[in-house]
Amino acid sequence: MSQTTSTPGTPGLDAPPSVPAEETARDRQQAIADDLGDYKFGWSDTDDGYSFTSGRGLTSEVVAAISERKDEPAWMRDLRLRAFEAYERRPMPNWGADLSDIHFDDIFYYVEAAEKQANSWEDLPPEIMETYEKLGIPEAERKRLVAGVAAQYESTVLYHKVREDLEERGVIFQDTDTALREHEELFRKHFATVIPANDNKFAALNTAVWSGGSFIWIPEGVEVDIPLQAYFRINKQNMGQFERTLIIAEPGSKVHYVEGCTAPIYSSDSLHSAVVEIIVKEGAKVRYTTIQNWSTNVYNLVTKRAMAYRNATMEWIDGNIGSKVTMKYPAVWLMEEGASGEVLSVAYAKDGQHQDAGAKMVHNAPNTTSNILSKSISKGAGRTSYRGLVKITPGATNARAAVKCDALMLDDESRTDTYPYMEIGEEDATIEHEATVSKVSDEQLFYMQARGIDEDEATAMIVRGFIEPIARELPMEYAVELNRLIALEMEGAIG
Amino acid sequence: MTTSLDTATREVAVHPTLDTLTEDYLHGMSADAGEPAWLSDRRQQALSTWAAQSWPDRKRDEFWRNTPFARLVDVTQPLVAGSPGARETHTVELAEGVVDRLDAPAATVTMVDGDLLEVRVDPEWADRGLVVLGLRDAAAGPWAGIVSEHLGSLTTTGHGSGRDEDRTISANDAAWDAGVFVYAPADLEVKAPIGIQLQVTRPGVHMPRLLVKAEHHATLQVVVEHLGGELPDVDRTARAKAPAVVDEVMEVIAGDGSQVDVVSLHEHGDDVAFLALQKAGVHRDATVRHLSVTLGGATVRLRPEADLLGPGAAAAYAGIYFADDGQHFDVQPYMRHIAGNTVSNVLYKGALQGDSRTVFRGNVFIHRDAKGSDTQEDNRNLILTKGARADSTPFLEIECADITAGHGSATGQIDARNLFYLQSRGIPREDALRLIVLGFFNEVIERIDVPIVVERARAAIEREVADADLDAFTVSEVAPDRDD
Repeated sequence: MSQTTSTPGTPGLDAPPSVPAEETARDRQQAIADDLGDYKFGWSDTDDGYSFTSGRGLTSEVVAAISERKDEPAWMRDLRLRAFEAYERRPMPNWGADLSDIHFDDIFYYVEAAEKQANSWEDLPPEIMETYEKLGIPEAERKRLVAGVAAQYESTVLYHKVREDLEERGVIFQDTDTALREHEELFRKHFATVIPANDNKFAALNTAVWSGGSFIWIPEGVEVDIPLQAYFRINKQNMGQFERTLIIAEPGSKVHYVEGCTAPIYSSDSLHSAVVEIIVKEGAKVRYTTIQNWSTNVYNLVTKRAMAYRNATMEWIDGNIGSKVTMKYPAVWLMEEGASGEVLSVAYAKDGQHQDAGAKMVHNAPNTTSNILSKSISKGAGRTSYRGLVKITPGATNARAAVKCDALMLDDESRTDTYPYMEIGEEDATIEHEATVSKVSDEQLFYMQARGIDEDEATAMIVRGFIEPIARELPMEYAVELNRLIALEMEGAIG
Repeated sequence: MTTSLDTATREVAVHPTLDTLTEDYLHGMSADAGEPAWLSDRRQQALSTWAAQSWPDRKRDEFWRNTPFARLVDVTQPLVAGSPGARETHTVELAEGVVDRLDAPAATVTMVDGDLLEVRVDPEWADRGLVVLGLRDAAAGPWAGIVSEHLGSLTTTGHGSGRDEDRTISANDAAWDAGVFVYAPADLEVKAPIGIQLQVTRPGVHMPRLLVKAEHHATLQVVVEHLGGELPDVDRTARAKAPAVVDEVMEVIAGDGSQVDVVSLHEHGDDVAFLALQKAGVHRDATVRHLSVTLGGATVRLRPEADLLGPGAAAAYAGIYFADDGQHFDVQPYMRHIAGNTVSNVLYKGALQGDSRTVFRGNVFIHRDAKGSDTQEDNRNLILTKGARADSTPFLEIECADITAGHGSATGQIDARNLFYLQSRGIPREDALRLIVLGFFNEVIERIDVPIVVERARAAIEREVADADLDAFTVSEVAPDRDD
């Protein structure tokens, strides 16, 4: 399956792979996409702009070629190759969502959109600029709602701007490839320390072929009080995106990082397998917010983990609206006394979607606390699963953990599962778990209809009320976007 | 040296282990016991399932995630029913249990090492139609039709949720040794308990099989007591794994509108690994209550299950477990709501001390068609001393929106406020701790309406606490058991 471009030493073949049969299929999809016209998240650009692809499928030669193409140091190339071995060795997970439809040999593991990173908005290719206009990025920046925008177009970050005052304070906010070039020592010290290359099959895959993502370093005592944002998009059929994000918060610092995704619709399945590593040092605070809205053909298999040290706080706010299958369990390892972790998770699954999301809290030190709140909504034949772990290791005395999972089901076809794992190895731990499953009740609808609210709007109001505890934790424009996305998904919820 | 090796080889061939079941052995066993052909065929059917399976693996099998089968269960032990000496007369001293002291039981059964020792049925209840028989006798006699219809219907030889059961169950389906059949005809309300005592006095693999069938609107109360172990003459130090394995399967078929209570007591010695599937098929408007008291055994993996098959079916399952140093208890209630308007209630409470480990793995599945169903699943663990580990995984799988479901889990230690309250009223610390632990379990124990079982459970908990090092008990400042 793999294309000629995968030959080592000749990675620079510029021509995009041409597979006539696929072209026809793609043309047909493009035609359909054109017809859709006004569908908000449905554009796709032509593939003329791709300057380098690895071809389909993955071998150690492809991994080496990616590293060479990026002109990486030898240690990174070796790490990628080791990770590739681990990826081949590790079994597919035998739990969770059905992954049997992923055709690993059909996936492009590396695609480059343009040769160079653009320095300013005007340098962007027009078609990409147009896509971003639709996403509203410059507008957001004009309003100064975002501190820096890293716009990731497929695997290469093209547009990157950090506000000057942040730069002056020593904050590093770069795409991960640039950070490896410019801050190799800092990078190497932390990379793959939170999530080792062989952690699980998909983390190994990411480590082998990662490209792009964000690198953030906040110096000691610096508090970034406006959210840092990045937008990610997948645009090429069968293209896997393997971003790698690394956030290091030095002692006493504070940062809120926001990641969001929208992707155009293609008919054959795409794979997204990111790795996010976060190190929260003594007394620091990191909040990481994602609202994932991949198109419903994307397999979203992500490993996210943070290490929180003495008195540090780590918060994940995780929204899963899109994708065909998501398996994502943001984790906090509470490594030193006084560390605390929180995960707020909201998932929405409609027909054909399986959101297998949750959280993991590993208490490795005394007096650590964790809190998980999960809200999931399933509609049509959609399936949401909460899957979570609370683990208290021996020695982690006086740990406290609370887990609350609420599921809302919108009709009789939906499915919801709760899989909470609690492993408690210390006698003075206090662990609580509660879950409820409910449905929009006839009484609720009757009450609202009696007050002149129609059934669709009444249902939407109930859903908004249900997710409100999480929506209120989001930055304003994200709360708006979440509500808007759910409103879109809800259209015609009542049949 | 050579001689003893030869003997061993021959024994394996003639008297198989859990790992070396053969067609010939099962045919021979069936023929020796005079089993009808359909039963022999059913054993062979299970054997082919068994042959296609491998032993549970904690990495591969999600349900064995927290219980390392290979480390805890010795599949190389011979089957007791087929091993030499099985038919020899021998005198053993049996531990006394609650079955010996039941107040006016409707029937009592004693099974020892794969043999049915004694079946006693109160003639009055027998006259009214209650049947308590050896399972083989039932399968060969006038009850063959009912036995054939239901035996294995909830496990690997059936068509329901038991089809995918693992090898511990197909092994019993193929090679169960002694069995009991309990039958209540329609409308018979058996107000007195039926006691079944299963004793382990020899090392090896014990495979008891129980089949309980209540016809429509009948009432049954079955007390199943597991005793034995502490085997003399068995060198424990040479073996890492328990020298005795009990692999039990119990099927309860509750007909329309019937009520069946099962009380299962587990008091094996610390040289027994006990695996049990106690599964009920609950039909329209029937209620099955299952109560378990797990105190003994090196390893216990208890699976109280209910398939709620008809509208209005209900299951109320509750249990307590108290694990000490070296014990590994894995309790896995599974409720399957197949029909609409079915109700399940699951409550398990456990205490741990010393280097012990408990696993609660609750499962509730609500089928797409089970509209109007209601489930509540709770697990509470009290960790008394350092070094214990309690895992709690209360799962819910729901395919239908029009239902009510909730579950909760809490793990903590003794609440300092409770202790302070009792001490402030002049109750010494030791008594106060005992009261708190008894009080923790009382919510479950008081549901058992067999007085002798309640008495025995309370006494056992008192004994556990009395034997414990109370100074090692740790006390928290937060209530481990919230009432919300």
